[in-house]
Amino acid sequence: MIRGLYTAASGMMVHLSQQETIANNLSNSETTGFKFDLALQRAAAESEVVRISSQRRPKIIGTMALQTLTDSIYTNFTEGVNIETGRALDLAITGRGFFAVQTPQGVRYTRSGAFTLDAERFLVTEQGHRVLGMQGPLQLPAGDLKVLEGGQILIDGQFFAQLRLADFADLQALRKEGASLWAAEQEELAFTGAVRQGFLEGSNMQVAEEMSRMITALRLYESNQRVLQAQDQLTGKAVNEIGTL
Amino acid sequence: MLRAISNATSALLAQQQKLDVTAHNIANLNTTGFKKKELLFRDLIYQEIAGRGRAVVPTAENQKPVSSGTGVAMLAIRPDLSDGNYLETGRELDLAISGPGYFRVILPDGSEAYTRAGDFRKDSEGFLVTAQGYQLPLQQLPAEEHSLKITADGYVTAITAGGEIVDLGRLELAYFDNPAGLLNLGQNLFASSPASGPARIAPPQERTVIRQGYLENANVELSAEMTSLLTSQRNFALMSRSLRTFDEMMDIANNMRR
Repeated sequence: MIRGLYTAASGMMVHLSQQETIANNLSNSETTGFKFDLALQRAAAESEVVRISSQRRPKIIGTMALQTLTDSIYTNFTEGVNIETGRALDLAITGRGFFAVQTPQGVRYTRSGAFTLDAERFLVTEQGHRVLGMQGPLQLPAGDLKVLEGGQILIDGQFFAQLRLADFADLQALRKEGASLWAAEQEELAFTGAVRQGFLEGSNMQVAEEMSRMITALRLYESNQRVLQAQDQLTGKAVNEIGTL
Repeated sequence: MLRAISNATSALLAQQQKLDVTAHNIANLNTTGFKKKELLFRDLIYQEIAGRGRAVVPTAENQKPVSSGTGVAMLAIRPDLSDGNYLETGRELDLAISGPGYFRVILPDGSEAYTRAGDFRKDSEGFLVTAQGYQLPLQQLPAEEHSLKITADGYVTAITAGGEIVDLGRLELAYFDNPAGLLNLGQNLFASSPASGPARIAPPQERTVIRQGYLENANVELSAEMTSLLTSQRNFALMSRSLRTFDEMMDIANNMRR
């Protein structure tokens, strides 16, 4: 019975984590390049259950999981809707792939293509991180800017530089760092998507899905609380009432 | 749980900021030369949730730790530089630019500024000036009574009462490859900066049309702003719902033992 308390408590904690993930998804309903997360759970390793009886020898009657745990966060990389802004410096990626930017912590990857020029005419994110080309940061000269599907940058019709675009084998191994950035410890693979100039990728969060999951998480949290209360009552009876004269 | 509350709060604040921007745009619906603003969002840092009394699978060496986001914040407020709505005034000295390009204006200190606001007038010496009195680099207008004609591609001629046609040259506009980088000096005036690139002075290019008797009004579309307002409201309601759910969960946890 005491064990049952912890099982129910672990259930509550798992659903709380799920709720937090859902809340973060909802917060980011309009964040450029945001990909929503799912908190996945699994049962802890099962352990043996032994039948102990006054009439029989102890026997292992099976296994049972004692806890549930949050296993991992699965990031859903489906594409967000592309919003047309008409700005020459706004880029969106359709298909797989990421832009590469330079941050003080190293190279990071993003789907958010809301770029601008800083005071020295480097192509930067709105946070000031420099966008990387194959040869490093891009300092753009004056002229009409055009970005082609493959990430080639043309100034006044002449080729200027190639944007550094990356794909990865294991997308789930990428770590979110906030500000629409991902950190990777994998090798960059060839880019297979397409770049669209004048567009921004919206968040891929679906409200209806998140709301249903939120209701589920709340009700399961409540159910686990009921189980916990029931365990508590049973324990109370066992301690207080059994054996009273 | 408290972090979950701050997550929801961050979203409520962000939506309020977006609402402020929308309100600012709507308030300037009829301001000459006003360019609407838009707000961009970014997500906040992700924190590892294991090790804080949570039921989480212990992470193996090379595995990504289980982490949770902490909310959303404003990334940037950017101006939208698309053409405004054109208002027909019928006034001879009202000019509007359709397409790219800015009017050039000489400031009292001799430097050049740029503007889209074409509500010009004639000063006492016969020069074409802005509403604040800054001169345009154009020839002096004839002293006698005349009517001014400015063509779509910028040719300026004056027709006097006597029927004489005086050629006053061609208006030259300033073009920038990154107008979003222009410095806002206020009073509808802008200055060039390294981010905007140098001004390329040229007569009206192919996509530019100068319209005499018109003024470029704000580029605010009421329907778009109302949609933005509705979206903000919906998102605000969503996050309030999220907040209430956490509140209910806390209530459930608090009332486990009566």
